[in-house]
Amino acid sequence: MSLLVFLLLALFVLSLAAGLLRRAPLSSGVVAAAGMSWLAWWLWRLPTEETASALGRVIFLDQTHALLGFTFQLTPAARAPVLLMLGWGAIFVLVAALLRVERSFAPAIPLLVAAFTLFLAAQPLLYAPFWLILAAVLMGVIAQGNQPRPARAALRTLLAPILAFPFLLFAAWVFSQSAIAAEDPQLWSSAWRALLVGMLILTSTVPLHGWIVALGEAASPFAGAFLVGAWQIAIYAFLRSLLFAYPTITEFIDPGVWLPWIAVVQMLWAGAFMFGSQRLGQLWGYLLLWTFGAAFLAWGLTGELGSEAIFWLFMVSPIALTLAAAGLQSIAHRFGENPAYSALHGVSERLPLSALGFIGGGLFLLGWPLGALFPMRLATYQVAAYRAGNIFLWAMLALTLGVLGLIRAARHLATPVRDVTLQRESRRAAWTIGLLLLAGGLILLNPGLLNDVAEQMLVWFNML
Amino acid sequence: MPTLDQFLTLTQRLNNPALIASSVLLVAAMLVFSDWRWALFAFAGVKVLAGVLFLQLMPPEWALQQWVAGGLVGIMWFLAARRVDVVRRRQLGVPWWKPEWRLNPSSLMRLAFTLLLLVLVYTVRPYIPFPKLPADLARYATFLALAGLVALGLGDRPMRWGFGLSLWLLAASFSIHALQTNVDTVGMMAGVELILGFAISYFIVVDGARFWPRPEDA
Repeated sequence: MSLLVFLLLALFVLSLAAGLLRRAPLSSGVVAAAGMSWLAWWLWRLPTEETASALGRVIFLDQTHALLGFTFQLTPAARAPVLLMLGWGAIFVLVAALLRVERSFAPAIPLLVAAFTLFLAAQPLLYAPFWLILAAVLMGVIAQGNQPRPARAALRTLLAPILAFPFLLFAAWVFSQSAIAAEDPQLWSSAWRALLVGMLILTSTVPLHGWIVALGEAASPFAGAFLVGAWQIAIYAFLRSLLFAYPTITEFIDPGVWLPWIAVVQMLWAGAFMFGSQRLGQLWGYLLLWTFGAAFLAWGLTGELGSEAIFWLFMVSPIALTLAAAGLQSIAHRFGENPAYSALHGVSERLPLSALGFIGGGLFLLGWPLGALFPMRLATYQVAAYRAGNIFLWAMLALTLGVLGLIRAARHLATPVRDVTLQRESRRAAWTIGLLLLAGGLILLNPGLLNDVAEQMLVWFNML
Repeated sequence: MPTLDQFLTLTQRLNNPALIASSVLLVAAMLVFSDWRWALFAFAGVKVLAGVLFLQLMPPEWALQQWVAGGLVGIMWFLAARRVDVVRRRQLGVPWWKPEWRLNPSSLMRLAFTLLLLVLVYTVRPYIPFPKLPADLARYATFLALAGLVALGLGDRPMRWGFGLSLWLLAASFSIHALQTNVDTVGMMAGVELILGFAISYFIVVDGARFWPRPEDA
C-alpha cells in the first residue's frame, strides 16, 4: 500500500467513525482529533527509507498511482502541508467538540484534509486545481453546516478555484508545446500572464477576498477559521511548487514584489473594515482576512527564509484562532449568529472569559505582545521596515486599524447587562478558553519550542 | 426519434449566427427570470445549443457530452429546486403551476444589468482572441464569460451562482477544447461541471429550506 492510499483510507475511516458518533459530539470530536493527531505523529516520524509500517502493513513511501491522466504521489514536499493540516484539524476538532459546535464539523474535517492531500499529491501541477475544486466543494459543505442558512459563504468558496482553473489549463497547454516560445512569442507571454492571473486568483487578492469575509459572517467561527487556514496552507504549498517548477515567471513579474503588496492590501482592506464593523461575525471575517494577508506578507518579504517563518506561523496560529473562535462561539450561543454590536449587552459581565478569549485572541492574531504570534509578527514588521519602507508604513496602518476595530468591539462587549436572565458561560467553555490562553502563553515564553519542527518541515518542503 | 447521424445532418443546416443569437437570448433569459423553472429551461437550451456549436471543434461523441453533463446538472438542480419549491408552496397554499413573476427591485436590477450587458455586447463587440478558436466562437465565448461574471454579481442565490459558474466553465471549454480535445481534458471539464452541479444542488436545498414557513413539517 502506498503512503497516499494509506493516508486517504485512514482519513475516510476517521470521518466515518466520527460520523457514526455524531450524536455524541464530544466522542465524535475526540475520536477525529485523536486519529488525526496519531496520523500527524506517524507522518512526522516516518523514516527516510523506502518503506515504513503502520498497523501491521508495509507502506511504500515512493509508490505512485496513475488515475484519469494524473499521477499521484505524496512526496516529502507535500507531506509538510498535510502534516500541518492534520495538526490544525486535530486542534480545531477537539476544541470545537468541547464547545459543542455543529455535529457535522468533526466528520467533515478528515474528509477535507483527504481532499487537500489528493490535491497536493497530484501531478501535472497545472492540472492539479481540478482536485482543489473538489476540496472547495467540501469547504462549501462545511461552511454551510448541517442547518438551513444563507449559502453565501458556501457559494463564494467555489469561486477562486473555478475562476482560476481555465487560466492554469491554458498555461499548461502552451507550456507543453515546446516550439511555441520561438514560433509565437505573443502566445507564449500570454500563457505566462494567464499563469500569473491564476495564481493571483488563488491568493484571494482583493477584491476576490469576499469568501473569507463571508465565512466569518455566515459560517460557524471554527469552520471559518479552519477553512481559511487550510486553504492558505494548501495554496501556499501549491504556489511555492509552481514558482519552483516555472521560475521563468519571475521574468514577467517578481513574486517578491507583488506578493507583499497583495498581502498588505488585504491587511489594509481588512483593517479598515474591522474598524467599521457593526457585527461580531463581520469583525471575525475581516480579522481572518487580516491574518491571511499577514501570513503572505511574512512569506513575500523574506523570500526563501520566509518559508520557515510561514511554517512557524502556520504552527502557532491555530492556538490564537481557536481561542478567538471559542470566545465568539460562546457569545454566539447566547446572542445568535453574527450578532450586531447594538444587541450585545452584558457580555463581559456574564461571559467574561469568552469576551477575553475573543478580544484577546484577536489581538494575539494581530501580533499583540502577550500573544504567541508576537515574535514572528515583530520579525515581519522589522524585515518590512528594513527592506520596504512603504510596505512597513501600510502594514502599521492596517495593524492600527485592526487594533482600533477590536477596541470598538471590546467597548460594546463591556456595556452593562440588560437582560437579567442572560446565562453565564458554561464551565467547559471557560476551562477551554483558559487552557488555550495558557498554551499561547507557553509558546510566547518559549518561541523556540517549535523551531525544530519548522526546520524539519522546511527540509521536506525543499525536496521538490 | 432521429438517429445521431440524422441529427448531425440536421444541425449542419443551422448556421453559427442563428445558433449564437438564440443562445445569447437564452443566456439573457437565464439571468433575468426569477421563476426557477423558466431559468432552468433557458439553461437547458443554452447547453443544447453549446453542444451543437462544439461540433465544430471536436468529434460529435465528445461535443455532445455537453448535453450529457448539462442534462445531469439540470436534473440535479431541477430536483433540488423542486423539492424546496414544493414544500414552500404546499405550506403557503400556492398551486404548483402558478409562475412566480416578481417585479421587485432585485428583478429590475437583474433586468437592467442584463440589458446593459446585451447593449455592450451589441455595440462594443468585446472579443478575446482565443488561440485556434474561430472568431465567431471566440466572440461567443467572451460573451459567455462576461455573462457568467455578471450572473455572479446578481445576488447570492445558489442557482444563479450555478448559472454564472457554469457559463464561465462553458466559455473556458470553448477556449480549452479549441487547443486540445483529448479524452482527459474533455472528461476533466465535464467532471468539474458535474462537481459544481452537485454542490449547487445541495446549496439550493439548504439555502431554500430557510424560506419554508414551517421547516419542521417538511
